[in-house]
Amino acid sequence: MLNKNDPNAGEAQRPSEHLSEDELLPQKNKITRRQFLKVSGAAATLIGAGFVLQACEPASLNVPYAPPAQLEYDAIPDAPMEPLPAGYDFFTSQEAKIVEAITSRIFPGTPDDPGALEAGVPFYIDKILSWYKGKVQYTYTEGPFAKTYEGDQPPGPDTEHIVYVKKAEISRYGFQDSIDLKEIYHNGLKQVEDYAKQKFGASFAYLTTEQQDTILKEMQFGKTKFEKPSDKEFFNILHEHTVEGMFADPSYGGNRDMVGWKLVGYPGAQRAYTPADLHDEGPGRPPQDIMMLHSFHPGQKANPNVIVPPSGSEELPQPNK
Amino acid sequence: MMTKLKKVDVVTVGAGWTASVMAQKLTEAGYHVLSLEQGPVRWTNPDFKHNHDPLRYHVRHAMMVDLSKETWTWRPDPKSPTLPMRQYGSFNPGQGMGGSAIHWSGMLWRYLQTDYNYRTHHIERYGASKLPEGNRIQDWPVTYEELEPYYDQMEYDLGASGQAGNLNGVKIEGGNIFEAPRSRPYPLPPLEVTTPSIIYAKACKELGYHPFPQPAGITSRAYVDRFGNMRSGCLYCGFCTRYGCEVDAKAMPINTHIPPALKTGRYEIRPYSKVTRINLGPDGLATGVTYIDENGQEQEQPADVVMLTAFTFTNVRLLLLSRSQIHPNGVGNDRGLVGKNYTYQHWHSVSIGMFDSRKFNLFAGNTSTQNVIFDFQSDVFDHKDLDFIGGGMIFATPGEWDPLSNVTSFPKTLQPKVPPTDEKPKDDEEKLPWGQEWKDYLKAHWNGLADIELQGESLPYDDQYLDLDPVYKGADGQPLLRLTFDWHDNDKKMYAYIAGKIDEIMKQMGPTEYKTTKELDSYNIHKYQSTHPTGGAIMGSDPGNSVTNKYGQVWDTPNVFITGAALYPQNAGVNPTGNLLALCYMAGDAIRDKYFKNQNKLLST
Repeated sequence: MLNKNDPNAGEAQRPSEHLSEDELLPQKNKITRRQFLKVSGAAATLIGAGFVLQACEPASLNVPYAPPAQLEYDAIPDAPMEPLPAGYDFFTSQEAKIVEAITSRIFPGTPDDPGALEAGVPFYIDKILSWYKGKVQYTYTEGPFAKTYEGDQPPGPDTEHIVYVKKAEISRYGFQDSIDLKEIYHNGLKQVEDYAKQKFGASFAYLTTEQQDTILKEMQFGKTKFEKPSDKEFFNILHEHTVEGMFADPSYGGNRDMVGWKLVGYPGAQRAYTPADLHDEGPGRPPQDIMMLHSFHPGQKANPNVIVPPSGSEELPQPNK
Repeated sequence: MMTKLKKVDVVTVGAGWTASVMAQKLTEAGYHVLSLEQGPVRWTNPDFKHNHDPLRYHVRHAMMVDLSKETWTWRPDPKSPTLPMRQYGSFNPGQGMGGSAIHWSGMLWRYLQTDYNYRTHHIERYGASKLPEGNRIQDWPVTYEELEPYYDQMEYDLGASGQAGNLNGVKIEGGNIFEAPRSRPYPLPPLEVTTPSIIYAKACKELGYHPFPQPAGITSRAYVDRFGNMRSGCLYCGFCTRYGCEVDAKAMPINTHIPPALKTGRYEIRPYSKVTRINLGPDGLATGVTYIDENGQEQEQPADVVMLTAFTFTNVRLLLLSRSQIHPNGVGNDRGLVGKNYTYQHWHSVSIGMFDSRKFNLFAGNTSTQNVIFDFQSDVFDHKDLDFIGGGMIFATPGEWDPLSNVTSFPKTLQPKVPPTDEKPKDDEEKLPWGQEWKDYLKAHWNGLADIELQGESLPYDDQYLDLDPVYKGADGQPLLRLTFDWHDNDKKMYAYIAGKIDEIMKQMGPTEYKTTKELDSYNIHKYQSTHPTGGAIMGSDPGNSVTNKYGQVWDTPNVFITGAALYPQNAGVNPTGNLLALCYMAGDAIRDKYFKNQNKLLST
């Protein structure tokens, strides 16, 4: 997404170590803006053209996090979101447009009511695919592989490479594809695009939301002829990745500014809760991500309300209040 | 090229719960124990200090077995095709020092007295025809009374938290009045429970049931055990099951039995060592094991005693893979009983309620911060006029919620109202919610939802078993273990009945709206249900009906012992960990005190 009017365009780039504590802390009535910057040749060019380039590299762990002196759990107001970054590492521009469109239907949003696009879900998916080796699930990839059939009889006996399974039964076995995630996305997005042009005469990203929903619904219920990946499989993966991109820790590239967590009221990576916290139905704590989770040791205060009991003590110390 | 290593008294497969218990007992008495662990070494400090990351640990299963190297194949019945579980999955077997006992939930139970004589009890009460068709239900060769002192010691070693319900026959209100009698209270008071758990307990009482707090192997206060391990009280941090506990509140082998075993100087844990078979001599006794070391090289580890202390599936697979002239079908398998009596565990979120304008904070706590009723457990209730046997525990509502793993499971499965299809969803993909309505629902209600769950018994059948897959192999080049398993009629009827009771309780809790799943779906291998696969190498009264005696000693090969849930003739309606630890304590004492005086002979039972 482009935003030529962004006031940050052209601003000097600073490595994250030089961010002040002020800029790292979530402050009352202000959404933190963190600018983790990846400066590369391409980035410099884009910045020159008026784009804002943001990567999501985590802050240095050496920057200390000090909890505010007084914990106040005020309600966090809505605020306009920053524009999305333009730098995809894996998707082509056209693929990125389709992914943005699809994830915006699965989890719609606006700047006032952030959804997949504002949270950076397409960016999250892009990162899994470009950091492929470290970021996806354990998968057993040996053959033979499943091939579905309709009707009562399989087309032939199982072979060294194929196990025949009734189409109505295949979903009981979970993921069974023989191709890897990168191919799934490339092939899947191409099939979505071809189907959109065939059915509605235009690229998927330029259809109305109703038309887009129609196509997604057909995929979800297995009504198209997609193969490798099948429509249901691709819909399932897109849905899964949208949920991950909305609710995983922001260090993975999605859930920017913890908007997914704020939506549902999840406080993120907290260290501890007291029994009173379990039953407190007040506004609750502001969310924090894993980079804000400071280290602690037995005997230390995890936060002003919770003291980690020293190992081996006879009784629990009382928290200061 | 295999090199032969220095012999040890006992070699164990894996360094998990039962390996560590055996190691502690045997090293204390002067024996040398070696644990060959396929995964890495890890300790609370520093490995669990910064692990509050659900994507990594919950969704990507960072502590579990890497399926690209080893997985399990499955078919619902002998006539259906078999495929491997390519991604997680119905269960989460662990790896690494401490095994699955690092990422377990901590729920800790004692079995009922009637769990142990399940077959005799049911036939006496209802007649033999009441047992479901094709079943392989069998009595255990051990009683609750025999195990009670071991349960007791185990609970004190783990720093268990709970409220006693039956103290030497005296029933105590607020505890589990249906539990088997215990000689001492729990060492620590029960954990805190969540707000919906309190609403649930009130509703249960109003309906005449008997709620009590979940007992757990998680300290509710700072605690020092008899080995000198110092553990902090639970922080209710919300990152418990699937994570290591960073304050040692949750009992794990690394904060209970491994430290004292290591202190003796007679215990070694060798990481990155994957055992591939049990080696046998010409007389049919075990001589040790073969394993693949961290460089991929095969090694032969000699030992006087071989203990299969790994996960259920791993133990059964090793028995089947270890063939020799004297035992051509594998260790313990001369009568074809290895793999039989495979059972699993019911674990379902049955009813979900939405409580408008409440904030339940279920992201805090852990999966034991809940209340439970046993009023529909096992044969606690009269089945005379019912068309099934068995039951389970009904509980609500555990904490540790995180949106990554649960936003798709709510009452309003909203689909955009778009043509071409208004069909009812047939499978989990078709039930996925998406769109603006779903998002609005999450925003308004995520923190005000609560569910009631069922954990139930699983009975053994002739067409439910484990064997070696004829087609698929693991990274070790050997056949994977194949599961043949599906729910049977008895399961479906039991579920439907209890779902009806759960529906009433949810209604009594007074939600704004709620939805109960009234029927049990067929089993599938891809949705997480429970890491309690049991059976496959069961204990029994004689070699005609089992693989081992009550000490887990293999009838055919007396210097091989099996521990853990592979020994279970059928699975009860609670987490299996408490029982397998008590059995391991009993077996460990017998091996320590009697076996070595008369090696290679069956212990008298």
